[in-house]
Parts: sequence; structure tokens; C-alpha cells
Amino acid sequence: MYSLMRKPLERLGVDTPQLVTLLGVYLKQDFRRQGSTLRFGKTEAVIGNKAVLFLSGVYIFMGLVIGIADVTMQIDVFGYCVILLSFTMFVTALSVIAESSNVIFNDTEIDVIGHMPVNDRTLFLAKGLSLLAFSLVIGLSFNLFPSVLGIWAVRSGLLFCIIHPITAVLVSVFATSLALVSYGVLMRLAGKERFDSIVTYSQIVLTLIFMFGYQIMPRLLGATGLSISSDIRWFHLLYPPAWYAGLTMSVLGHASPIVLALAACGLFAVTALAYAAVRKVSTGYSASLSKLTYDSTKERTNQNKRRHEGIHSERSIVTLLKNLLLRKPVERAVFSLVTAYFTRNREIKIRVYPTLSYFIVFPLMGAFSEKLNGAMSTFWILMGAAMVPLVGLTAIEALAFCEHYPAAHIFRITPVAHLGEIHSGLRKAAAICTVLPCFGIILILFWVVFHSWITAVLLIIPWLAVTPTILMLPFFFKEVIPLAKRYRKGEQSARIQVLALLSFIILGTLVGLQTAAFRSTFPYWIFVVTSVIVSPISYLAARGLSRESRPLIPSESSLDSDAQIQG
Amino acid sequence: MIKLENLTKDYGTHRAVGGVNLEVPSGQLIGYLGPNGAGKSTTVKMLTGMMAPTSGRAEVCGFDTMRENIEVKRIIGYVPESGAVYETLTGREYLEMVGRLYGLKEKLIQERVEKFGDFFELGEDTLGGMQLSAYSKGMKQKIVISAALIHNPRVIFFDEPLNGLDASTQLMFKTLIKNLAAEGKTIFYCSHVLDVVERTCERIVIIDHGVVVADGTLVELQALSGEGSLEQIFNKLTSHLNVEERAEEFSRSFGF
Repeated sequence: MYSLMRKPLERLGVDTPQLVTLLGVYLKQDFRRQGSTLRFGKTEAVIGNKAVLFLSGVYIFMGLVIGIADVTMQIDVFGYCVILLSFTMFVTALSVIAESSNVIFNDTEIDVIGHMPVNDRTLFLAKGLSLLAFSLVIGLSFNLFPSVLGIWAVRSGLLFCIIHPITAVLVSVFATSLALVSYGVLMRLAGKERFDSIVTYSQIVLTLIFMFGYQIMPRLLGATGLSISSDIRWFHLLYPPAWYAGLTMSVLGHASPIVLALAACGLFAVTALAYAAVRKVSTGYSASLSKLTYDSTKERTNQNKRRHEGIHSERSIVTLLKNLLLRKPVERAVFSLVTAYFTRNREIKIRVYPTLSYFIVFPLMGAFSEKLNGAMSTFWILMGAAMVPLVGLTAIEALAFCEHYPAAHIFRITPVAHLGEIHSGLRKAAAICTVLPCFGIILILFWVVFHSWITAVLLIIPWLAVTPTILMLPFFFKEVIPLAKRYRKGEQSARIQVLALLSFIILGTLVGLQTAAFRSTFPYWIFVVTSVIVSPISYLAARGLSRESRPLIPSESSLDSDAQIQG
Repeated sequence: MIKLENLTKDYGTHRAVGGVNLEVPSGQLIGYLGPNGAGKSTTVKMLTGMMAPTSGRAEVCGFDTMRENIEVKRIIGYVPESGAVYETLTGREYLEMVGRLYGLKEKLIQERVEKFGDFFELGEDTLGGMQLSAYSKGMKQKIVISAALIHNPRVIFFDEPLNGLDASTQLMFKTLIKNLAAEGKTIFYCSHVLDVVERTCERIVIIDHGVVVADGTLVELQALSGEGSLEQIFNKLTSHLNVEERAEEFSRSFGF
């Protein structure tokens, strides 16, 4: 394989020995167990990143469930492929987008490798391949069982178990290349002053595009009488997962002009995108990364300095509100630290903000449902508000990680009396920076959907009341120090998956009750009053039972996430 | 060997390096001094091809740092101030990676890794058995220095290389760089530890607010400023006057 690829890669200007070296390093970083010692006797732990293993397990399970559901519904093999490949594209693209900040825009790496004789194409390709490896782990895990189960889909055959994993790989390559090319184009278009913020917000836009493609577009087509997963039609040419389903159909012997056109689109797209990523986008990558690392940080520091001077020139209402909300000095310090990272640190913004866009999808799913007045449509729309506390939880989980994690030792040096003061500052920062703006957006969405401000407000009140209790959950069993862990690939996604699954069950039940009340199964005011009364009680109970009153105990290691030998 | 022509770097409206002109001949050990934020590291990043200058140009061994970026990188070694490494690798794996990126043969890499391990007294348990995240700062710095020298570069840039090193390793390191210079390597030594620069560097350049304020041997700088030690010369040239008085006043105001 290596000797086969060597010459074409060298023709593209890639230094293959360097590529192999770098890729090996990146894969070790991603999949190796974190710890001080690697050897147990003479055996080295090769794969040990528990987060990646956990994610893989979750996707294997999801694939099994979706595969069984689809097969038992006696679905046609084309529809079966479209559903599975849509999900594959969705999860792999989102993973690549979420991980790209630590791979493509890793500004701490430039001091390690920036002065070494590695050309742009080699470096960019090594990073792209390491991202692809991660997306393949997810994509292939998800398609493990469906590749076998698909044999029993209508019009399928034994060949399915061979061709489907191949199309899953192609979809992963497509999604990864698309994300890389999109970033590459942005890198070229954005001036150095705007690059940082454009990259940050582009992740949100890309996340929304993939969500729109996966969740909204099939519903939109369904609402207009066009089904994405039944007969093969012309509009499937606009939907990338259908291209690769077309490839499967061709191999299974169901070739027709439209099927062949779909397959050709898929093969052309993946080749063109991969070529563009290596050949075009990689040019000038190191220079762009250097600009991003050195120039924009100092630019931003100057801007912040000016802004800081402006704020302190007069005692603003914001300061007064802060003093009212944050009475304890430790709480205020943590709040300021976390909000500063929220607004200034690119890595935090890139990891947190795209995950916040998830909640918008639920009301849109409901709004684009075939029956807008149906119970399920109402359920999905109301689920949007229920997702807002989950947004806060996601932000809190994401804020556990930071590139400057060693600095978190400050919490262990300073005489912090109670963990609760740190937790409270973090919770309030997450609530103000994420939860409140999200409720604002949901309020507008509800107003648009239900044409009434009063209805919108009444629908949101129970969720506003329950949010403090839900935000307490991460602090219930463990101490949470903000920005204190080194980021490991897949770790944030794995933690969010667990939270999302648990919260989805709890919140889904509550939304079910709210939907029933809203649709007059029982009076809505009972639901509102109950939630407003129960929420503070549950919050106080949770606070009493949590670790809030305990002091910060000494860490088992000198840093929060690394055992370190002191010299 | 190293040539800077009106080298300038602006961050927005802030000028970090303002038109530096400098020529460093082959085999010279030059100390590049300056207070915090003077533009030392920015100069080095431009010379190593990691950062583009706003204007002006720089050459290393006749190669333009921007147009012949890769050629420059092949012949230089660099110890960054940050001491950044890939922390998930072991020390040995990291040095092997660096050797391969410089295109060294496997046998040579192994030989050199062993030599650096012996020189810095890093046993196999540490070098091959522990991830860099578990190393102390000093141990990590030894790996960073080894990585900068593993390919036997012609020009070496040190940016605060003594960070975290213990006294005996510092002494070994100072002797090492003197010998490297004697063998014809050009060494660009960035620091604000004046004592080390005073003892090891044959030429001293002082930069303040991005501009060169002094350039010469210690004797020439003494003659220029009328001061005795490098510390006094530095304080005079970089306008940090009355430092002792200010420190006393500050401690009084705090009630220490």
C-alpha cells in the first residue's frame, strides 16, 4: 500500500517518509492511553484512549438499533443505505468539525514543528489523515452491524456486506475532505484580522449545514411530497448520501441511468474533494497557521486592552449586575475566568459554540414535519426549550478542557474554602454565556411558530425554572475545576454523548408531559405551577446532597490531568 | 551566515520589531538580549521561518527565510522559549520523530538518541518508558535541546534554553555551546539571563522596543555606556533606572 501510494504522493509534492512519521505521531496522540508509563512488562498499550473506545461502542450500539429497526420495517436497500449513510455523514462530519480545532488549528504545535523542514502539503495531509482515521473509527463502528443486517433488506444480497463498508469509508472521506476544503477556502478568503473569528463561527455554520442536511432536508422533501428514502428520483442527485447508496445499488446489480449517475457523482465528488484538499488547500497552510497563532492573538490582546479601558472608564450597569449575581470573590473570579475564555479563546469557542447549535434543530424538525399540528410536531418543537439546559451542561463539560490546563493549579494553591464557590462561578458563567441567549432564540422561534408572545413565554417558564437543577448535575458526583484537563480526542464527544443520552430520557419525559398539557390532555397551568414549585426544591436538595460544601482536596497528581515527576 | 535587513514585524498598530539590521558571521556566538516584550522571540521566529516579517528580509546561510523556507529549516536548530513537545510521546519517540523529519538514517538517529540520553543523564526508563507529559520541566527541556541538535545543524537558535535546567546541567550546556561555536556553528542566543550571556557570548546585541540599542563585545559595550557589568549596561540602555529604589518603595507600600 505504502509503495503503491508513494509515487503519486511524491508527484503531489508530499514527502512520504515525513508523512508516515507525522501520521504515526498523530495517531499515537489520538489513540494512546494517557499516563506516565507506557510499558507493562514489555507490552505497550497501543490503543487506550478510553473516550474513543467508548464513542466507538456507542456508535456500534446505535448502528445495531437503527439497522434492526430498518430491516424489520422491510425497507428497500436503497432507502436503507440512504438512512445509514446520512447518519454516517452527519456523525463523521460533526466529529471532524469538533476535532479540527485540535488538529488543523492547533496553535501550540507550531513551536514544536514550525521550524522543521516539513512542507505544507505533507503537514496538511498528515493532519487530514489523522482526522480521517478518527472519522473512520466512528463511521465504521456505526456501520458494523448494519453492513451485515443490510443483507436482509428488500432487493439486497450477500454482496451488500462487502460494498456497504466501502461506501461508509467513502462517505467518511467525503465528509472529512469537505470539512478540510471548507476550512482551506476560509483560510484563504479571510484576512488575518478576521480569520480567527471567521474560523470560529464557520464551525457553527458547518455544524448547522450538516444538521440541516441530515435532519431538516429529508423532512422538507417529505413535506413537499418528495421522499428521500423510497424510489430513486432526480432530486437524489442533490443529496450526497444518496450518491453512495447509488454505488451500492450499482454493485448489487440494480444499475439504471439514475443509479449510475448517482454512483458517478459520489466517486467524482470524493476524488475531487480529496485532490483539492491535498493539492490546493494545503498551499500556504503553515503560513496561515503561523498568522493564526502569532498575529491574531496579539491583535486581539490589543483590542481587549482597548475594550477593557473603555469598560473601566465608567461604572456600567453590567458591573452592578455582576456584583449582585456574584457575591463571593472566588465565585466572581471563576466567572470572570470562564467568561474570558468563552469570549476570547479560540479553542474554547470552537469546541463549545458548534455544540450549542444542536438545540435549534429540534424546533426546526417539528416545524418542517409533515403535520405541523400533530402531537409529534409539538413534541419536537417543545424539545427545543428542553435542549437549552442541555446546552448549558454541554458548555460546562466542554469547559473542563483547555490548552492551558496546567494553570488550573491556581485553584489548589489558593485557599478556596468550598468547592461550591468554584462550581457556582462556572455554572453562572455557563448560564449567562449560553443558556440565556439560547432561551432568547427559542423565545423568538416559539413566537414565530405559535404566533403569540404569551404562549411562547408560558412554554419557556418551566424550562427556565428547571435549568438551575439540571446545571447542578455535573457537580453532583465529582469536583469540577474549569479549564483543568488536557483535551484528548473524543473525550468531549464521549462525555457529551453520555449527558445527551441521560438528559434526553429525563427531558423527553418532561417534554411529553408538557406536550400533553399543551394539547389539553390536562390543564397547562398545572404543569407550569408544578414545575415552578418543584424546581427550587429539587435545586436546594441537589445542592445539599452535592459536594458544594466540601473543600478542594489535594490532587493525586501535581497537575489535574497529568502525573508529573518533579525534577 | 545570518543577515537581517531592516527586519520589521507589526502586530496591528503595535511594532514588535522595528527595522533591525544585523550580520552574524559563521562560528559566532551572539547573545541577543532585551527586556520582556522587546521583540527577541519575534526576531527568532522570523529567522527560523516560522513567522513572516511585515517588511525587510532575513537570510540564513544565504537562504531567504521566506522564499527558501524549507532550505533554511534544514540547516537550523531551534530551542523555543515555550519548550513545547508532543507530550503523548516518550522522549525517545519524540527524538526519533524529529530525526526522521530531518531525513536522518535510522541507525544514525538511534546512535544520537543514545548519545543525548547519556549526555543529559536520561536513563532508558525515562527516555523510552515515560510519556513526555510525565517529565519534569527540566527533563523536558533536555529533550527539546536534544531535538534542536540531533541533526547537527549549522545554525542554532536558543530562546531561553536554560529554563528549568538544574545547575550542573546548565554548566554542561554552557560548555557545550562554547564548543559548538568553536567548531564553527553559528549560535544565536536569546535570553534575559545576563550572567550567562556575559560569560559565554563573544558578541552582545541589546534590543529594546524592537530596536537595536547596542551591538558589540562586552568591552565595546562597557566603553559605549561607561558602565562596568552587563547588568548595569543593560539597565542603562533599556531605561530601567532606579530599579532598586523602585523595589524598595514597592515593598514599603505593601508592608512586606
